[in-house]
Amino acid sequence: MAVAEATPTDLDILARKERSPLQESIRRLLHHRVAVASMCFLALVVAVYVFADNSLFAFLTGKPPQPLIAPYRYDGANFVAVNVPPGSRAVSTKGEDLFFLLGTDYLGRDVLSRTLYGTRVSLSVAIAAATVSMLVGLVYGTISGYVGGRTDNIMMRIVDFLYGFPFLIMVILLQTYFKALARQGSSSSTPILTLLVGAAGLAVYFGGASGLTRELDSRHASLVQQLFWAQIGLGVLHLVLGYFAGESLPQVVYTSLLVLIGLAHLGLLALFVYHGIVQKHAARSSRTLFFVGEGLFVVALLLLGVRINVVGGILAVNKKMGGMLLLFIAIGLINWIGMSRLARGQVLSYKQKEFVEAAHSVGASDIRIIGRHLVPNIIGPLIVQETLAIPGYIFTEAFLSFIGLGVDSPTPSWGIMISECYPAIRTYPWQTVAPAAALTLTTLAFNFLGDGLRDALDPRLKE
Amino acid sequence: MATTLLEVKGLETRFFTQDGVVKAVNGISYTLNESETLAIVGESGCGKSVGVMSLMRLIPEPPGKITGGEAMFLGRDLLKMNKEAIRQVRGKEIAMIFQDPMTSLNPVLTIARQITEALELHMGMDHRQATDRAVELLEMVNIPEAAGRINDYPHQFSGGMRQRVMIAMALSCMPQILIADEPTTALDVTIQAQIVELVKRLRDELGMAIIWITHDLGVVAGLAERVVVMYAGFIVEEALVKDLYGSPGHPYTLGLLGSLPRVDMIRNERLTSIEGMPPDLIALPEGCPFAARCTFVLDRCLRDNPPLLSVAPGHKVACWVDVETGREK
Amino acid sequence: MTKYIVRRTLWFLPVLFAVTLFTFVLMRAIPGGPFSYAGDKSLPPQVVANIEAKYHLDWPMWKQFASYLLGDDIVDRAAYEESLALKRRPSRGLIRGDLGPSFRYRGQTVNDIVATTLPTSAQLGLMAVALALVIGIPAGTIAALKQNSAIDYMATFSAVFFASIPSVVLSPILIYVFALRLNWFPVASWGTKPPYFLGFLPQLAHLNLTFLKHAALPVFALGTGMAAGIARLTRGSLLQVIREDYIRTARAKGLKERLIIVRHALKNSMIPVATILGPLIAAVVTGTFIVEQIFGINGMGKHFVQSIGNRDYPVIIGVTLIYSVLLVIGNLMVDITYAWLDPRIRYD
Ligand SMILES: Nc1ncnc2c1ncn2[C@@H]1O[C@H](COP(=O)(O)OP(=O)(O)OP(=O)(O)O)[C@@H](O)[C@H]1O
Ligand SMILES: [Mg+2]
Repeated sequence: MAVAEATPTDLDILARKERSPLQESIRRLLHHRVAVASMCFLALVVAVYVFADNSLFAFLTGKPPQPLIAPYRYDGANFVAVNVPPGSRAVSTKGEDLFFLLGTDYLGRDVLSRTLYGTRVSLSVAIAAATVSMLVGLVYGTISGYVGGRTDNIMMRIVDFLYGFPFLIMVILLQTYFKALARQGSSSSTPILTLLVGAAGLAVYFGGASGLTRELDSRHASLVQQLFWAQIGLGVLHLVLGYFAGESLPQVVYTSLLVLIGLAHLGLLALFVYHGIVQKHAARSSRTLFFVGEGLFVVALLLLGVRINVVGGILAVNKKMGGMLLLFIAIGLINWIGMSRLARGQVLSYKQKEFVEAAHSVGASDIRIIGRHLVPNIIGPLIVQETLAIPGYIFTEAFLSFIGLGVDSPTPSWGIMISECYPAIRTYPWQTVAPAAALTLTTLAFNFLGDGLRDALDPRLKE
Repeated sequence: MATTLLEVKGLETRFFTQDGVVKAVNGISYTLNESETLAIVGESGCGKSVGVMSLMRLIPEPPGKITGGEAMFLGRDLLKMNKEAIRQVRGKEIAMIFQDPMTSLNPVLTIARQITEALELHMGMDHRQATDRAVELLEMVNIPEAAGRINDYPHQFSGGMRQRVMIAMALSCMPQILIADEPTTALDVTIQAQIVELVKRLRDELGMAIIWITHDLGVVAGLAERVVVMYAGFIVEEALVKDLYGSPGHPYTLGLLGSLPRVDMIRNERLTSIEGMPPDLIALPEGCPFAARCTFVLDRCLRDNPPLLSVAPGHKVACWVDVETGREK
Repeated sequence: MTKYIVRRTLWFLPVLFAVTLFTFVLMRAIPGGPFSYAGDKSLPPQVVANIEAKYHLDWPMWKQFASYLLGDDIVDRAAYEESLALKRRPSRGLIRGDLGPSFRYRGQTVNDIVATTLPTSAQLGLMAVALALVIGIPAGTIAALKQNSAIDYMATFSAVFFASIPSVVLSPILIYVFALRLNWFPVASWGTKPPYFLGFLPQLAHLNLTFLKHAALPVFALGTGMAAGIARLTRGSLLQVIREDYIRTARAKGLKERLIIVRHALKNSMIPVATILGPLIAAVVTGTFIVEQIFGINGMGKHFVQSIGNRDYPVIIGVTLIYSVLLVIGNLMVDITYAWLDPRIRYD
């Protein structure tokens, strides 16, 4: 093996080559004037995002948050100054002097304040959606590319299937549904579908587990059995909890227990993967059955939980967040498909590289190889892609808010502001201009930053 | 004395990159006679490709630039011709085949289209004539069932067959010079031998001159009459094949010959058995570029770069040292 | 290829079924039912029950779905006869092309609504795509060929700029500047009327200045973002292609630079562009929601958004289906374009 014979100088050269690309990239990025300007602008936006009011510290004092950067509260209506143009002054009913740098809207709310508060929605959506799609895409794509073979085939089939799906329309429908639920309060969805999924999952799970116990040696087989019963036990616990949830358990307790159970599920699964049983000793069909069944089972449990209580919980949280939570999930789930394809492609191209094979040959575990060798190498293009996707998320939020399916009024989102004010654009243009400019500048900055990042990480494109 | 076809004098090519000026070719001079095969050998990155692509003016500009020298071809200087004139030379008088047949053919055009376009351009043929000629050419390079495959796309051919197609394309206009830039490096050993045999046969039939670039001194012996050895953008030795093998005059050539492939060697192992690495072309040392790796190195080598001087008829060496005695000449 | 198209079309049936099921269940699962909302407060429970019986909303979900899919006569013969007797319109089923009645516009079917609104949206969408291609590809090509020149910088900058303006922003601005301030274009509505040529194209007689004036702003609002995306992609891919070995081969043959670009580079550089045509079509669809809304164009997008507000579930389901079909047709066309551009791709 070449590595074994490498001289110190060779290693030095290797090390230098390993380190320099990142520094090179940063250097190139800092030389990219437009990208640096965009970063500065976005830093400013983040500052506004954080310090629009003092809600960060307000929970310590227990008082309602007060505006910091924003001159007024976003929902502070002034009936003495409705639709006033930029630069107007007024005296409020309480006798305060008011000054509206960018004018007011049809309820006399300060356009500047609302625009500044609007960063909260747009940036939150951008960050949350980017995180969701990045995580889901990365995990899905990496597994697909790394495991390869039939698993890869099936996983990519699913992706291909979803690719043709009218996702945004689905999001619109889902949002319609959720909004209606939020209006109505309680849920009355039938548990039958969920029970079916759960039963099917349980059956498949059982099939996989029994297959595994037959194929594995006794020590591993007993591990599989323990895992299986542990999961079932968790499921029962889940159901019992769910039953009491509505009656005697406070919602917070129930929800946190639910989260604990979910974590326990994941932990058991991780234990299983860690022991390497899945990779080595059993037929692929049993393994696939086992995992698919496990997945369906857990999903069904979650759904049952959802039916019993969590819909209410989620809706409550969603309401607290001004309707943003569901947006996060919906928008994040639109884009993971592209990410997973990209991640898979990257993993495939790196899987054959020397350092991965070298790591294999010294017996590194799969998780270690993925975590230490693959992910750091493939993350660059994914980040670029994600940065370039952020304007899309912001657009989608604006779009959904515009058609009334975004955040709830009076939470200020740029999309809602435009949709409320554009019909009056002839008489009160400033009401539309401020959010429009904020929206455009922010997406512009993300686009320029993404371009800069791409050039910095892949110099071939520049020059 | 054979007539000279191409005379390169002091060719100098630079790349102006962000990190500095890459001195890829540093004043090389050589001649090519009619129906002669000249081999250019040297380690990877020593400027072989850049040297010949400069002749065809195929250097990407920017960052590349030919900064000096001349290349007289039939009384005209290739390096000073206008764009239109050099275009007339390309493909018609001087043709080129490249290292990697997998990427050198356009994947979205048929073989027919790619061969006939040069014929239509340079030979004034119409489409029918050109297609017929293309079939003949494919037969000439031993593509079975050429007529049936002419409308196939490159991905439908194997690597060796693609290189044959490249050769057919290059020879389509009966060029006077064929430049082959490592045409066999990307191919299997058996296919390599077939390609070499094919080129030999075609050379004897068509009588063109060849510049053959390679890493493989083993191939050179059976194919070329003269050899030019390059190092770090310089020519360090030029000799007839038998002289080069018989009495190599440059320590670098000695090293190359010492690293000739042996039976027990893994294929694809490149000529790297000389200790150390070639110098950075952005910051060339003041003296002889090979000094840092040379076993015969003298004080003088670190100060002055030796010129290429005749040591025997037709044999030139750029070295201060007499390698037989190990002393300064 | 034919085989592939047939297979893709067959493969599409389960997708369509899934979409129908999903949409149907979701819309029916919305609590309260469409006729018992605030806003319809005046309706007494008895009337609501009557209406629900009329639309078979009192049936169990599976039966409603079966009736939607297959028609009343297959699902429940007796109910079918009864509807006929009461002069109600029984469902003939999706399989026979019946998308059902609108809840909101009494007396109109979803088919009627689609038939009147789809052509307008199709005209708008097609013109926007055409605009995007006609501006985007040449702009990207020129920028790549003149890399790092002033033209390139201008093109690149305006591409990023226009890609950063969502139609929610662009449409009001266009209206304000060009319609309200400058008075160059009408503010709202669309310039053609049925009957249409081939079912959706405007008649030649309608293709006059008025039509173009009505179309200009919305088409621009819908098309520029896409044009910008296409231009960026074209530029990037052409820059990559002209560094490829086969371009050097073409140069070594002595071909003219123009021929090298046109014959050897452009087709290759269009391959990545073809891949985004799919998402692009989806973007057109969602783009029409906003553009039609803001420009007051009576298209399918506007109707879709309104039916969400009105909770007109049959319209929502029907229009979602139509969109799915359109998207699939679009994706199929993308695949065909792709195969035509890249001979290495064979679908069989
Ligand atoms: N476009 C370019 N930009 C910058 N430097 C370049 C460029 N092309 C070539 N070079 C540099 O010129 C030098 C000579 O390259 P060249 O391709 O001629 O080597 P070579 O002898 O043909 O090697 P090989 O045997 O690997 O083909 C190399 O050091 C390379 O880094
Ligand atoms: Mg080379």
